Amino acid sequence: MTRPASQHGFRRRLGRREFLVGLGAVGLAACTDGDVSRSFDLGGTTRVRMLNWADYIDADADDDPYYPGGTLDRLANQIGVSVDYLPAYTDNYSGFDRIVSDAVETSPPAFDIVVPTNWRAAQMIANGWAEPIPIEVVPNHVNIDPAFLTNAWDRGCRFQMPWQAGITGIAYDPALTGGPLTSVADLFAPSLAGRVGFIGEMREAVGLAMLANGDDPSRPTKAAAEAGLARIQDAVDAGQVGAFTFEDFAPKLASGELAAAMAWSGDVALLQSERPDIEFIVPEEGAIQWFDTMVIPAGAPNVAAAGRLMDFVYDPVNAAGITEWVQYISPVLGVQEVLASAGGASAELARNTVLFPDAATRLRLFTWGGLDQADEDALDAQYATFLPE
Amino acid sequence: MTAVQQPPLPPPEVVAPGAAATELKARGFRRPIAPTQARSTPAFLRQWNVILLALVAAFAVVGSIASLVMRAASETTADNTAPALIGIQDLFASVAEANTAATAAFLATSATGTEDRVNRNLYQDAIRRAAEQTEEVSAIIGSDEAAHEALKQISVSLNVYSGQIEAANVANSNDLPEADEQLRDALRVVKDDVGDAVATVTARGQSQLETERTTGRILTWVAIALGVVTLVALLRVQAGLLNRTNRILNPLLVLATVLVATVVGYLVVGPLARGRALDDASTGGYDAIATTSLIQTSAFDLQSQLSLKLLEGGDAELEPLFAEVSADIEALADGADSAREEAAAEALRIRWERYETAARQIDATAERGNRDRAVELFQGEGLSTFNGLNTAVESVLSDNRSQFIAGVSEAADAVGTTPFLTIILPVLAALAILLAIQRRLGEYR
Repeated sequence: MTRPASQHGFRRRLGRREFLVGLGAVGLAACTDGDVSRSFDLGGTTRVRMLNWADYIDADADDDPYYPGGTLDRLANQIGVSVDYLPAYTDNYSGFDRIVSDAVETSPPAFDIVVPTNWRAAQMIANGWAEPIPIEVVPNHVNIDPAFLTNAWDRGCRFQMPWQAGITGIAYDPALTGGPLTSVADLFAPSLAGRVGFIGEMREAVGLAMLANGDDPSRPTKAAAEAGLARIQDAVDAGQVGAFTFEDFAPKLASGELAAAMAWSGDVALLQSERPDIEFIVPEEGAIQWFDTMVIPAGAPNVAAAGRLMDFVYDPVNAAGITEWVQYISPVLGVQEVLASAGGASAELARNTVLFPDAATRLRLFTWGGLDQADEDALDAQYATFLPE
Repeated sequence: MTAVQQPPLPPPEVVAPGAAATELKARGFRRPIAPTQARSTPAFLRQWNVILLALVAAFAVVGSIASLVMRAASETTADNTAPALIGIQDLFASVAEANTAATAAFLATSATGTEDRVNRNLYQDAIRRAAEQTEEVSAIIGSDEAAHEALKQISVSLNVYSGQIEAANVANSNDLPEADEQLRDALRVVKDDVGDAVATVTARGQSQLETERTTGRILTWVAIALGVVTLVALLRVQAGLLNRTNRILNPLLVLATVLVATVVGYLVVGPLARGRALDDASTGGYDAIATTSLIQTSAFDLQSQLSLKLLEGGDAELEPLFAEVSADIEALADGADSAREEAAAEALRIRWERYETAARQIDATAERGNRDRAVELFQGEGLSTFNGLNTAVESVLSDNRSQFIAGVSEAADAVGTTPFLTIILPVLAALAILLAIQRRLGEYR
């Protein structure tokens, strides 16, 4: 996913405190799986510097993530780890450049945890830029959903722990489209010319175009990817695309500038708190799944404290608090049960198949499989010509 | 000048052979150790020169051969045997994952009529990885014919297996009755043929590891013995010279003594350090790898039995396997010697408990005759928890691999310089001896 650091114009449907009140009836029994009673001490450092995307952790009405009772506040009070939280990872290009300059080329790294998207994390690990996860202080590592453990580039999540996962599907305003959309092919319909938003992230846009072409983006070939890109080029040439967007697809949909857009599931959930009439679908051909993941840069000085933070956010109760706020797919086992037990609006979230895809939906989710680096670079360069300066 | 007439010398007494010796013995004399000629210092020096050089040469040859053999064995352990032993376990993990994913995909197609792309991709990734790992292990396993034969068997079986899976999938998609039988055949190929071949390679590797541990040991003891004899001889010469010349020290002979003693020291200390490093690698790394592979084998057996039960009904002998895995996980936790290993063992235990719960549930559901629900559980919780367990096993293997490889590398390093030293230091010692003795002889000339 690729989002600028600017804040959303929307508020969450459900407040953090509201969630915790609901949870009160449940207690903490739901998270026994992660309750491994052991303590490790890998050093006295208690400060963690974390670079993350914007709007990716619970915050109060003033967008303050350090608010009393919030995740960062409880981290400090309950386990003594204070976080310098920087929500400035803007995208996987300039944002990643910052990781390279501040956390790879700078010694010691300026961050103890960075949260790039899966394909960027794979590059970090392949280049030896990542510390092994200090499982001595992360007993909740066992709560990683096994679906995230089988990636060829980091089997068993030994070098990264997913933060949140999401779906790039289609959001649309039925009043403007004149009816429901069901497929990626609908985005190329002449009736929507000039009113369609394409996502600015190459792998997601090309992946969706590949699905429309009948190709599998989880097993991409250079030819299939180029065919997907060509389809987008044709749409651009035909004036089909109203805008290439990142998170700004939401206000453009809200304002009616766009009738439909390739969209991120969590941001649509946020938009729907203000515009419940906006629909989000996993197209019949499928949608693109991705995840942003916590990586400790090699040589980071506060590895133990970073591990403690990871452990904290992998406690299902704490993870449920974050999910409730960001409304993306949680990679933590037990979150759905915690939300369901909390009742009320939280239980509603637990039933949401975009947050907790059922078996049928999972079959239609594709994670970009990756090409040779040179081919991906070439595709990135070509796709970048579509994007606004 | 007056000539003095000397009385004539008496004729030499003819003594019967042995009589002189008998007389000397009777007077309390003993037979001299060295021949009569050695009684003169130059003769003494010439004789010991030859003896010492011969001893040093023998010591150098045997010592360097022993250390070369030992170093070669250590390097083979570090570069081949140890990575192959770990590689074969990784291979088995890949096959287990491929098999489970293929079964889940097959069952999904049976149940829904739609291909389960996610599991099919998992299967394809895992089977490709298994094929690559077979190649990798084959490239490093060495010249053991039985191991190569077993790897060839794995390679052939994986090809047969892939073909059977594809055939089963096609038959399944077309709703043909032979689909189930084809999948059963495929499962048996992996369980029996691949399983047996993996066990063979593992056993051969372990045997090879033990052989490499003891390689060069006898030669080293012979070299040490030769070294000690050489030292004694050197001391004997110096003692002899002390008696004959009253010079306390001959610096060059002292130097030769120190050099030989150093090599003897290396021959004692190097192999000891190597043995200790290998023991540490074994107890700290390989024992855990072996235990983990038992867990992996049992879990795979469980999953295969569950698959077969869902396909053909009948009984599955799960309880003994549950008990085996639980015991092995206890052993793994008991053997953990660092916080990280303890954490990994604990993670494995939790992943195992989840899988055990899911397996019991699938088994019980199938026992109740609710096959559809059992299949659904197998595809969902069963596959998910099995993959969780399998990747936890891989993580433990990976951690212990590092420890094991570090240990055997340390063992190789412990004797890494010994061959060089066992050649160069005795050569220097020989030169020192030669020079020392020639200089003494020169003084007599």
